[in-house]
Amino acid sequence: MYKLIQEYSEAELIQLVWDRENVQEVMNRRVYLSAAEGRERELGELWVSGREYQETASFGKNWGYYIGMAEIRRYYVDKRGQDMRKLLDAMCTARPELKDESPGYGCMSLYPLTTPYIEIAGDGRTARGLWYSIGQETTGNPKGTAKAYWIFQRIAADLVKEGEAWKIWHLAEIFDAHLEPGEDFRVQPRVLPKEEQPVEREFGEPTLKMLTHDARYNWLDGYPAMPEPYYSFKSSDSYGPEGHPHYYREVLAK
Amino acid sequence: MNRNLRLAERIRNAAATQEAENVHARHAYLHACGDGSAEIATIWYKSPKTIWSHGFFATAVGWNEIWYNHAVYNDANPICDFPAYMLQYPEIAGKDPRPLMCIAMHVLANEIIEVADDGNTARAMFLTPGILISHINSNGLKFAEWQWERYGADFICDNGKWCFYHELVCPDHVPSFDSENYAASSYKELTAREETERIGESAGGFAPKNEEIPRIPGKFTIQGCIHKKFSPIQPVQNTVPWPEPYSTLDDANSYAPGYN
Amino acid sequence: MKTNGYTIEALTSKWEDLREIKNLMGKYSMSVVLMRHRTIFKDFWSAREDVCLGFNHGYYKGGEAVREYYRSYGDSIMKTSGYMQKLFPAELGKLSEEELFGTGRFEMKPLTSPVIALSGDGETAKGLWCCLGAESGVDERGPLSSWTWGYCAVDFVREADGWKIWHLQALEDVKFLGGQSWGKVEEVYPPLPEFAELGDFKLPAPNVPRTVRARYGADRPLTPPPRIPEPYETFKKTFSYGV
Repeated sequence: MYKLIQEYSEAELIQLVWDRENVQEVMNRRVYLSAAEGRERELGELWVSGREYQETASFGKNWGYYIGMAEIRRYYVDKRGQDMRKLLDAMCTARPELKDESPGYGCMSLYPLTTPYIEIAGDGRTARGLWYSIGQETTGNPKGTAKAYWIFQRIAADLVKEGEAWKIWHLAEIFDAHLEPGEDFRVQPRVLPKEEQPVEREFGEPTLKMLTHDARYNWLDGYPAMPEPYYSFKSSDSYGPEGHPHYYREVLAK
Repeated sequence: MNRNLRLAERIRNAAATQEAENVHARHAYLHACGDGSAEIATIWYKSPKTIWSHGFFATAVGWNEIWYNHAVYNDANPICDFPAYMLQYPEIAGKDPRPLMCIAMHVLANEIIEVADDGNTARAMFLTPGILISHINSNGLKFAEWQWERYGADFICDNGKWCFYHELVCPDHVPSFDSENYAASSYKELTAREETERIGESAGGFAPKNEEIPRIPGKFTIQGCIHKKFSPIQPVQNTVPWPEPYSTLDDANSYAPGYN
Repeated sequence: MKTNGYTIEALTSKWEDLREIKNLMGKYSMSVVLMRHRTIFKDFWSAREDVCLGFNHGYYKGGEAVREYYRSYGDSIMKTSGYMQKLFPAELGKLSEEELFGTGRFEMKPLTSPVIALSGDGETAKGLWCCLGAESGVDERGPLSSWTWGYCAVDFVREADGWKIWHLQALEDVKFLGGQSWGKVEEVYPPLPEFAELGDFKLPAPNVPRTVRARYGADRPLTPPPRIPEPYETFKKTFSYGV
């Protein structure tokens, strides 16, 4: 926290306590909406709605950022919907008896959050959090089987208070590793063929392409950094693209 | 928790609960990038009564001994092993060896937390379904193993800042990631009467260390393991009982009786 | 939870409710690790008669049914432990029944990602958690471990001695042998002759049998998690995780 506990008034401190709980709740709600493929609902309920925030919202992974809610929707809702539809169409072609099924057939995913580390800004208007997720993504296929993956990633977020509600402003899902269950990680090639990189393939073509984290070297690059106590939001200290240590090199200097 | 305290004390304790969670999370992330120095220097209580105990190793007593094991000893190992890594991956020359060795991500879940009535300490128990992963290794392969453990931690508010006071780490199962059925493997070891139980030896494929390089030995005042890992003949262990509401840290309410 | 409109005292009290509920579920989950199935009902469940415990294949509805489930589960644990004692007399022969209880089995199902809604009237609450679990048991194939993925959805009620579990759903999407992929057909382990006499143990069937949730298979339609708790005033105005 920005000050020591004894420096807060009772009202300030209980507000801070609830701010942390509410930030945690927003991110946890996201876990369940995402598992339900309720991404449109997630963007509407849990992400920023104010215009100034929508324009600067971002969704990042190891390979860049989608910037602005329109771009985020293009990836997170539209592309996902198209991918799911395409998969179902392929399933129906192979197995016509599935024609009445809905997209998502044979699929399952869950990215629970653990190890929360949350800092609320000294001015009470923004928050930064870091979580770790041991998750899974399981995708059916036209053959009637499925491919499952363990997925390990850090999830970092800036949230902003709109009215009384905390909303996600910048989100970074920074991937560390994946493996099919039952396989031996020791013998996984260091450089995987494209078809064996489901997380990168799924991310598509972001607004800003840049390497935010090179998982091949564990946590050497230190991104995303842990939140530290802070007074007010600065984009250069955020989990958005401007807060990435290489933003200058990748964008401003070009 | 005690709801009969004064309102200011209850609010203070609510905030302290979250600070304890943050301290343990900070440990998790610093440990995952191998930064033992920063961790021990900033979030561990500088006292001769500070304790760190690991089910597979032994118990370090006092901040100085914990610093020795987690900073000096732990930092030295990546430096000793670094030449072998550089042979495999020349591009890492000149980089910090510590985060390169391994992502030791002991995630935190299932927390049970109590803050003392006096607000000076907190106690917490976590389950940690964790993972050790590395994409690089001195033998050119990757390695990974699960690390499902339990944590029992006492925290103390030192000059307004919350830090670790006592921490007990109790690994339950550490199978390799992910081709192993750990119960079947354990039974096979038992019935083959193999001595190797991988205590101190990684299932996930850490490459053997170069024995020619002299290493700084670990140093633990109290020998003996506090917790045994799962096997089909291991009786139930409650090495880190969950905390109950308590008024002040004492030998009856502590993960380190005798060190309060 | 919105904080406007509450006094500082009320906000503090509500936070304490939240923390007590998280601690309660942490202890419930740890009790499973510690094999305390014989006391779990007394320790954590409500004294109300309309308690309810749900699994993928149905509900145990009513105090008697829930109590009987846990009691039987305890018996199944003792059966396993007794068998392991017979197979390993040198290591386990001297243990009393109490010391032996739980040997051979292991269940760790840490709860994460809580979404908890406290009722406006302060009498009830609802919570939803994710659960990545590891369990190991013994059957005719010997000791085997499994991964589980699932959810825990709980209604709570405030009683004189604190928050208690009222309705609990422990639902699994995956329960799959370790060392294999839940996206593939599970490979069979052969029976081991030394476990041939272990025999089956049948837990009592749910008294409200129904498919609450199908486990994942490549032929399962998209199945959302249990309903997420939303803010509510009184329990009558929200949905129940019971039946």
